[in-house]
Amino acid sequence: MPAGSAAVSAARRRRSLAILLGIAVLAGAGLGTWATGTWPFDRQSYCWGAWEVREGDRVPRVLDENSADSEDEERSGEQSAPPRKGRRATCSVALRDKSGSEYDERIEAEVATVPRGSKERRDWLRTYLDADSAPLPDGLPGLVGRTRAVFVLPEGCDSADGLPTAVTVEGVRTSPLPASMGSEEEVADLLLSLAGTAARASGCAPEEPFEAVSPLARADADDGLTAQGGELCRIPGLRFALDADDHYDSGVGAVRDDLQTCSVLDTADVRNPVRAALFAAVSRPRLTALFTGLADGGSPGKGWRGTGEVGEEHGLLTATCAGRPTVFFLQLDAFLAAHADPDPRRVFAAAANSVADRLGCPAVAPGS
Amino acid sequence: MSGEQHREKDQMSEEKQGSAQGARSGPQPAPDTERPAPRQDSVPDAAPSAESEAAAPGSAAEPAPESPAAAEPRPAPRPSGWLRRLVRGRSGAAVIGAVVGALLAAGGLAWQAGELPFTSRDRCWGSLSGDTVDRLFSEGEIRTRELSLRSAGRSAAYRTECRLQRWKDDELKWEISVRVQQLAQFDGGGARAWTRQFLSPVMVPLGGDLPGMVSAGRAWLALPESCVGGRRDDPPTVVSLSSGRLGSSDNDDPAERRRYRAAMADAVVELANGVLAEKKCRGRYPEPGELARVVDRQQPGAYPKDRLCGLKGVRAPSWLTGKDDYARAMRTTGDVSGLAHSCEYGRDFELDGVRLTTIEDPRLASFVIPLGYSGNPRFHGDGFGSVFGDMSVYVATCQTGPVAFLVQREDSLVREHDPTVALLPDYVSAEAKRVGCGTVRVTGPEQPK
Repeated sequence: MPAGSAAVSAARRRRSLAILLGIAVLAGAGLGTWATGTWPFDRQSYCWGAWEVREGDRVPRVLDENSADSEDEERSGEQSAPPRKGRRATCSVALRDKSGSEYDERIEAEVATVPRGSKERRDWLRTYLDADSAPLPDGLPGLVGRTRAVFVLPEGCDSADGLPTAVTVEGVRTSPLPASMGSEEEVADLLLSLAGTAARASGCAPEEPFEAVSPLARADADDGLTAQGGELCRIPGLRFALDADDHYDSGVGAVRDDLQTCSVLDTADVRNPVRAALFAAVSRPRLTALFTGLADGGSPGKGWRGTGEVGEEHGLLTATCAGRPTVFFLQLDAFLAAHADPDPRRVFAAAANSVADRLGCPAVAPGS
Repeated sequence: MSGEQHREKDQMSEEKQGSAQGARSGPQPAPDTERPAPRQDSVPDAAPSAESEAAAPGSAAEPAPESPAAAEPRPAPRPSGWLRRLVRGRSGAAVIGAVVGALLAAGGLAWQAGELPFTSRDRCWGSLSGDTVDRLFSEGEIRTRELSLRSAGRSAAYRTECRLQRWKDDELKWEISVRVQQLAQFDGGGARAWTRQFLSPVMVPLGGDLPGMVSAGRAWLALPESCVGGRRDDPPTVVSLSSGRLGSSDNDDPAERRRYRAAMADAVVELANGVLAEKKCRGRYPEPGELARVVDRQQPGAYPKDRLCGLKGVRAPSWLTGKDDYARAMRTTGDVSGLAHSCEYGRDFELDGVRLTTIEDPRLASFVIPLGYSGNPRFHGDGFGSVFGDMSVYVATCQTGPVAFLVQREDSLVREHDPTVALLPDYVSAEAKRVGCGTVRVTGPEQPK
C-alpha cells in the first residue's frame, strides 16, 4: 500500500512542520520579550501600577529588584483608592530592614488639589519650589530634586473650584533630614510615570504622554557665590540686616527665563535646618497655576503693575513680563521679615524689579 | 597655487568678503567644494600624521565600514547534491529546524548587540548620520578615524577626537575634526585658542535651549551636567566641530553658507546625542532651532563714536573711526540671547582684531574665571579682574551666577591705547547693564604690591 504510506508520511511531515513552526514562533516571541525586557510575569507594581519593581540601571533603590532579594530587607506598599478628579489619593513603597535596625526607606506620593488655605499653600510652595529642585526639561510643568519632586497636571484635572492638581513624590527616612530617592533621572521617571497614571485614572490625560526627552538639569542649590553687596540669592535688593551670628544660608536654584527660585535656610540647628524663606519668579505655563487663589484680583497698591498682595511676611504679584504672565513670590519667616532692609514691602519690590530687569521687562513694582 | 597659499595662511581672516581681502583674486572656495587641490607632495604633511595620531595604540580606532555587504559570503546559487540529500528525508526537518534556530539566535544576538550587517554604521562613535555627512562633504571617499570616548570628560587633561577626511584621487581634500573635551581652567593659552575659535562674533546660538553655538566653520555644544558630573563650578565638557581651518568655510554665496551652517548645527547635535547614548546618559538634545542671520562685516561708522559695538559709553579708538585709508571693519554677534556673544573690530580680524566678549553662561564663564585673578595689573570694584597677557578678564556675579567679560587683542603692537586696559571698565559697565546684572562698578587698573 504505497499510496497509503505516502499519505501517512505526508501527514506526518505536515504535522512535524506545524510543530516546528510552533517552536519557531515561541522561540521568536521568547527572544523578543527577552531582548526588549518585557517578560510578562512576576512583576510587582505599586501606586496603581505606575511603578514597577525592576532590575537594571536607573532604578531607585526602593524599586530595585536586587535590593530586596536578601533575607534582611522587605518591600511593602500601600495605596489609597485610585486618583479621581478633586479627590486626594496617596501611595507609598517602603524597604524595611528586618534585622532589627529599624532602618526604613520610603517613597511617599500624593495626587491632590493644592492646599486651599493661604498659609498651608505658602508652606507647600516653600517645600516644592525649593532651590534643591530643578525644573523639568522641555517646558514640562514640574520640578525634580533628589528628595522631592512635583508635577502639575493639565487644566482638565483642576478641581471644580479651579485649583490645580499636583502630583508629588518625596523620600522619607527615619531621620528628620530629607532622604534621597535616587538620581534626578530616577526621580523624574517616578514622577512622570505617576503623573501619567494619575491623569489617566482621573480621565484628564492629554494625548501626548508626559515625557522628558531632553537631558535633565542638575538639581542642587548653588550656595557657592554671594552677590555684590551681600544680598541674598544674588538678587539686588533682596537685602536683610543680618550679622554673623544669624545663621541663614541662601541656595540659588534655577535662574531661567521661565523660572527662578531661591531658598533661604535657617541653619541655627545644623542637624535640622529649617526653610526660612522662598523667592520665586515663575512664568512657565501651569506652574503659575500653583499660585491660583492666593490673592484676590486687586492691585497691591500705587506703583505696582498687575495684581497681587504684598504684606509683611509675604508678597505675591502677577504681572506681564516679556509678554508672559509672571508670578513674583516672596515668603519670609518672622525674623527675616523683621530684619528686611529697609522693610519687607520694599525688599519685595526691589527684588521683583531686579528680576524683571534681568528678564528685560519694565519695572513691576514701585522704585525706592 | 592659490589653494596652497590659502592652506598655509592659517592666520588669515575668517570672514573674507570684507575689503581687506578684496584685493585677492577670484571668489573664495565654497566649504569643501571646488577648492583647488594641493600638490601631491604637500599632502603627506597633513594626512599621515593625522592618521597615525588617530590610530595610536590603545585606541579603539576602527576602520570605517566602507561597504559591509561586501564582507558577507554570497549564498550558493543552488543547493549541491549532498545538500539536497541532507535537506530531504526524515532528518531533513531536524536539520532545517536547527539551521532556522541557529539563524534566529544569531540574528537575535546581532540585533541585541547592535551589530546587524547591511545597515551602514554611523560615523564617529556611531552618532553622525550618513545624511549629515553628505551635507558636510562633497563627493569623494570619506575616511573616519576615532579615539575611544572613554577618556573624554573625566578630566580636563584628556580629550578625545574623531576625524573625518574626504579623499579624492589619493589626495586629502577636506577635513572635519570632532573633539570631546572638558574646557580647562588655569590655562591662558587654551582659553585664548578656544574662545578665538568658538566664541567669535560669527557664532550664533543653536536655538531652543541648546547650550551651544554654530557658524559655517565651527560648532560646539556643552554636554549636560547630569551626564558628565563634576562640581558645580567645573567648566563644561563640550563637543566641538571644526570644518577646515578657521575661516576656510567662508563662501561668497550667503545661501550656501547658511546651508552649510545648518548642516554643522545638525551635526553637532547628532554628535552630542551620540556621546550621550554611548555614555549611557539619559536624554537627547532636540534638533537645532532657527538660527540667526549669518554675521557680516559692518562699517565702523554703523554706530556713533561713543557707542562702540552699539554699547553706550564705550568709546571707539580714534584710529578706528579716523578718516585715513585703512580698510576697517567690525562685526557683532547677531543674536545675543545665547551663552556668549562678542563684537570685534579691526582691519583683518585675525591679525589686528580687538574682540569684546561676554560669557553669560555660568558654567562656560567658570573656565576663564581663574584668569581674572591671576594676571596683573588688577581690576577691582563690584567684581574682580586682571590683564592676562594679550587679554583682560573681569568677573561679576549676576543673578545667574558668574558672568565673564573679556577684551582680547590679536596684535602685539603696544599702542598708547591698549584696549585690554582702556576698554574693559566701560565695556563691563555697559554689558552688565544689558545682560541684566544691574550696575557693576569697575575700578583700576592697579599694579599689585
